[in-house]
Amino acid sequence: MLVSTLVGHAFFTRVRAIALLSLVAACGGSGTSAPGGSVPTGWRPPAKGLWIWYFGYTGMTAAQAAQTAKDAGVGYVLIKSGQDASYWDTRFNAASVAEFTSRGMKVFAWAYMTPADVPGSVQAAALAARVPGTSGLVIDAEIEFEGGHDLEAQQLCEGIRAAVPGVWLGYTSFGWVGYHPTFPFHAFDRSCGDAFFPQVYWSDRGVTWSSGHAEAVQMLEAARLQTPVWIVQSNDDTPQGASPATADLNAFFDLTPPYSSLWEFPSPAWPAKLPQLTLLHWTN
Amino acid sequence: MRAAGLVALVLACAAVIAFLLLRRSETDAGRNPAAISERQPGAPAARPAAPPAPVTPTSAANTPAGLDPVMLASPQAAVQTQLRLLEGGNPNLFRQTFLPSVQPQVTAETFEACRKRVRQVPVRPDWQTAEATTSGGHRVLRVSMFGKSMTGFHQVDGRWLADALWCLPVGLP
Repeated sequence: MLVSTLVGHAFFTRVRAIALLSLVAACGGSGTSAPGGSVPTGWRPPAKGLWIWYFGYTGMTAAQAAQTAKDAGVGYVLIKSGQDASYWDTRFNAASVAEFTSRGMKVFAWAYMTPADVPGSVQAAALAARVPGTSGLVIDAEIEFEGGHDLEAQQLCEGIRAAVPGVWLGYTSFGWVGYHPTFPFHAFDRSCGDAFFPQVYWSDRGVTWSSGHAEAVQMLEAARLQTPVWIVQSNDDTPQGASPATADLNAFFDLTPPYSSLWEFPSPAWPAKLPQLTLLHWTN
Repeated sequence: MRAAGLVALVLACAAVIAFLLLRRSETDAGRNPAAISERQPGAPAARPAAPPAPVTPTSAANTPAGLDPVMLASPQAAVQTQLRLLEGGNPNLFRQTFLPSVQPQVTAETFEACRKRVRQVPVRPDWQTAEATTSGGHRVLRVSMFGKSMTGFHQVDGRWLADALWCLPVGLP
């Protein structure tokens, strides 16, 4: 399995990093730390992750959402922090992040970004990454980056790294990379490559979890990306209107530990999905 | 002769009544969305305030027909209207909720894809973080419909029209 291979490849890289850090620490040096929180270098999630769009969407406060996630067994959450040059300090802030970290979960900021305003996006991303308790930042780059925006992708990632030295920086995008030949996967891979979260939304696409996973892995292998893969599945309904079965979501999770995650913390408009969270195999 | 005159009078009255009924029917069609739901797919949407066109086979397909402006009085109302039209299976009126440049994208296929999509995921636009701008002299409110790409709603002649077919699945596969 490519995911295992990549994770394994990343493992040895991380082993070297851990060994180096241990040596630095043994010599009296301090461990790395980003302005916002701990850098998850070598961090292995105890449980899988859950994406949160905005708390209003969940019908809960940050505290309620955090408690619900903890009760379900979620290991880390990714909370939307902004859009392009906008950073949303009323949503992604130290207080909301602390609701999760105080319950034992890691928190990553994610921001949807386009090539429209790279300097502004860098500033917004930096603000999110510096929020106390934040473990890292994930750039969500999708259709707007298709069609030859390699340079903007590189500038975005390098700009964020320059603005927030030591930041843990990943990206998320299309799950079946082979269908998106003009997306700058390799630019993101080089510059935002602490993790790649491919959105393998098999239920949205209307395919089985196994075929969706298999095709995604095959395309990842063909693309020869170097970034560790943190694969994402979705609990959205199928085009036929059927909710993905708990057993299928679990089968996907069981095959993709420990970094995989679920899009997304459900809305109360889909009441059956909230209790489903507690039935998923979060623990690795 | 008297009988013939009477017949002529009856025919004249019938013609007047028929004409009046026809006029009323056309007016209703302009006011009642259901009344124009049979418009040919693909026909360009016309503005409700457009002057009556000469009756020809071509212009018949372009019969003035439109949504009540109240249904597009705000971006929020526009989204609700779009959802109702998707649910109701009315692609012609649905097309009119988009900017003219986008309207050709509303085809039978995309309309059906949109119908499916809005059943897959809840449509809860993030209005709190919507961005107000202007474009071409029009007010625009840009909002994220599903947490990803932004869709702009442009205020044109008092109606808020979407600049993207936001309900199409993106990136699948």
